[in-house]
Amino acid sequence: MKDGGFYYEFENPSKVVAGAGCLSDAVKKLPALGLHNAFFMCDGHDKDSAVDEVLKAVNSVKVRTGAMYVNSEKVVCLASLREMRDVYRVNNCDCIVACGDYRVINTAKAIRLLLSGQVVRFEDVKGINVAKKKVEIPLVVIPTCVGISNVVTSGALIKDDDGDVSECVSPLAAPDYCIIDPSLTSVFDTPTTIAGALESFAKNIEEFVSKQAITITKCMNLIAIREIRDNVFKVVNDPMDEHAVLGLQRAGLLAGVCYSNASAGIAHALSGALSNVTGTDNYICMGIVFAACMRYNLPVAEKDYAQALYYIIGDDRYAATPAQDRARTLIETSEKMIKELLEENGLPLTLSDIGMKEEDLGKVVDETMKSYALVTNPRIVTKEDVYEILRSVM
Amino acid sequence: MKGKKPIKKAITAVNMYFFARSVVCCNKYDENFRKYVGMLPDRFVFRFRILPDGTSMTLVKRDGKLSATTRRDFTVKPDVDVCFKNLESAFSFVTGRKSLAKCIAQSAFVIQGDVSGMMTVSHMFDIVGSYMLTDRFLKKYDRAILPRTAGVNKVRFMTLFGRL
Repeated sequence: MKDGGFYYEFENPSKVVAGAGCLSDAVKKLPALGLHNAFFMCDGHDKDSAVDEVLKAVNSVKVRTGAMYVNSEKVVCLASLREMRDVYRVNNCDCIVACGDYRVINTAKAIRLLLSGQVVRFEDVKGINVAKKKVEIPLVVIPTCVGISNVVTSGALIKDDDGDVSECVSPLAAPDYCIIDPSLTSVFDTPTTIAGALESFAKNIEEFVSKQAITITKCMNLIAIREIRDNVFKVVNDPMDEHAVLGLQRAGLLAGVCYSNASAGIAHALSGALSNVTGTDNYICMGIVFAACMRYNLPVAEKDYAQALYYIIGDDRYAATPAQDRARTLIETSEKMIKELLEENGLPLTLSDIGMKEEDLGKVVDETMKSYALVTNPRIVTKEDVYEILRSVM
Repeated sequence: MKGKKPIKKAITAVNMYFFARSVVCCNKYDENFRKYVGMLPDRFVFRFRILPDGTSMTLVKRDGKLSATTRRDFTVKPDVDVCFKNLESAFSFVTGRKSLAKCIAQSAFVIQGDVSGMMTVSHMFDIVGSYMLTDRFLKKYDRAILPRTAGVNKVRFMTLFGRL
């Protein structure tokens, strides 16, 4: 493996089934896998909701709902996981079906890690590649929000007993099945949809310029960026447009697949740290810091940014932009788009808007420096750089 | 790429030994380095190995003090275990041509263990690199040039000849 060699690794253990009305066909495969008693996880169960529809579809193929867990935690804590593990065992469940937003999917992956590794202590699951597979626990995920990129990633966040959030990265966390049906997607909460789409846009750009990016992930990222450009305004204008919703779902999914293989960069590390410290949703923090992070990476990622611009502004405008201005144009276009969408939908634009104070910066910087995503950021990040970025968006 | 590569193995082993010494030296003289060591939990163990059964280096923090050794001790379970997949990548790392972060980005090794611990060690190694290597060399191989709080020559001299 010499410098500049052609060595690369790519992994995506999840089977993806996507399309309008694909749910009924996809669940028919569950009994063939020997699954009969599901541990069902969701973010709330109302009549005629997407969750209700999924439950009906699962039950129609003679897969029982052995137990149901309604998740309300942003990052699942150990106590809840222990409780869930006991419920799963008492009810003799043989698989996990998770239907909901990114929080439900994160919790489902965390409980899968614990159960399939038969973990007793938190240390046996915390970190990279620590959990070892002992029992087969199939996991099926059905996202109901736009732009969820953690659907197929091989990692989960868990809050320990002291309240510290730890990353648990293992191929065991990746789901076996991922069912994406736009008819189940809730797009009526426009701010959440916009924030989700912006987060997957930011992630795709970050993954594209990542140090770990390979040709396969770069192709996926560019396609995803185009999907977002084509569909984000369509969904805002018409939430019932299934094609546009599926386009945004696909972009989120591609961001997730690439994240497992190319990792991300400083914006991901910063938004995660901000989310942990302030309690604000990750995707909102991403919207605030992304443009500043792009500007920070500009000196080393100019070529990649220029390339990505084509997929955002299209042929004519790309051809009309002088080659030396393309990278800067990408940043300006992205910043303008993000600002407009955030402003129109009443989402926070600065760190002060989410209640961040100057004295909390140190905590965020320390958290950021611990993030794995910094390793693959194209520019070497120091503490002072992080302070500077944060101050620029205060 | 094939063969036993005894010279490369020997160079890697010698460099690994001096790298371990330089880590201890930086802990003794550099303030920023000590801040990162302070972030690690007590009884923290970090281990490098070259697969299948090559040279290894172990960093241990005990009672606030950091020690580094190239002796093989596989009885202790490390908090972070980094296994280089082959000698080539390990050689690039110990000769300073690749930082720990770059090795991770290029999937040069298998990592097992705590993420934040590994990141802290990665920042520590960047500081070691900025003492042991010249600015020109660091720039050439796209590595971080970090501010030094101790004399470069002093750290280098102590790494080579000092009693640690």
